[in-house]
Amino acid sequence: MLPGRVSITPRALEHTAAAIAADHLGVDRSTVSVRLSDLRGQLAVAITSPLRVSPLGRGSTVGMVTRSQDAREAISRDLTRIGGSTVGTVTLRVTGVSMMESSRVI
Amino acid sequence: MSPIAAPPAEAATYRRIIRRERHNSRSVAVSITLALVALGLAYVTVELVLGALELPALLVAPVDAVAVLNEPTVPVIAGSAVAVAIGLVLLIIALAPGRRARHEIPNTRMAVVVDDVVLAGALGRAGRVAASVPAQRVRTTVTARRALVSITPTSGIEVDAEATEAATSRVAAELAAKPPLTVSVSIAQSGVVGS
Repeated sequence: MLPGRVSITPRALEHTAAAIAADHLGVDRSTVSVRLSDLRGQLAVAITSPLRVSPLGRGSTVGMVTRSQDAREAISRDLTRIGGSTVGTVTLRVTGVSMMESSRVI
Repeated sequence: MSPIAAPPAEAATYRRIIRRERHNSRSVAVSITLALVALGLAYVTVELVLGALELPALLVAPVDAVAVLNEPTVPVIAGSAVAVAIGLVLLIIALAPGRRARHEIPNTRMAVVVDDVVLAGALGRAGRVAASVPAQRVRTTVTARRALVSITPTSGIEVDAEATEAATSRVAAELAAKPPLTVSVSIAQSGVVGS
């Protein structure tokens, strides 16, 4: 193996986590805040973010809770894959909703 | 001249030098104790001579001293207690191994003595590379016969304890310090975010 090592700063990991979370929650990256801490040797991710929902009667009918759960799992998976560290817990705190802009498809 | 091994005479010298380097000298304690004992004896002699010639005593006449010792007062008891304490300290200095935090590295051509801090540095470095953590998350303590490498992992990245132990033990085996070091690796339960 090549001598030397890779170090990833906490800041870089937090930005990565925020970008992944924004992607899965469908919101702008700047509205997501992430705090990382340690939980028995694993990464504990705490996310504060709004959640994007579709207006009533249109689009997806999946509830907010289900969507949040799915997002948490997806965030955990992607952060482990991209950041290279095992994620222990993902805590998602939804602080608001952002309505999907109605695009004129159909 | 062959550079292979030191002749027996030199080997014996090296052994002596290494022993001296690895143990504390008692000469300071011995010198101080002997100086104090000599002063005390000189004083007692002076008092005895003055007493025999029936001249006035410097501090205490021998007759009075014996009388006080037969019926001890509080200061005399306290003084005796201090003397016992000093005696115990001297006994400990005399009997304790007086080892310094150093190890011998066997070498055929030289006498090599290394501070334990240096050994800890070498072992810590091996542990750090094997565990892939930054230097400040490795703490190594070296005592006479064992070395403990404590590692704080990076959150979410498991440290291979076995590989780390193997790597540090290999370095310990290469150094072959005397007395031999048993290396153990301990990995902290909780880690630190990022590295």
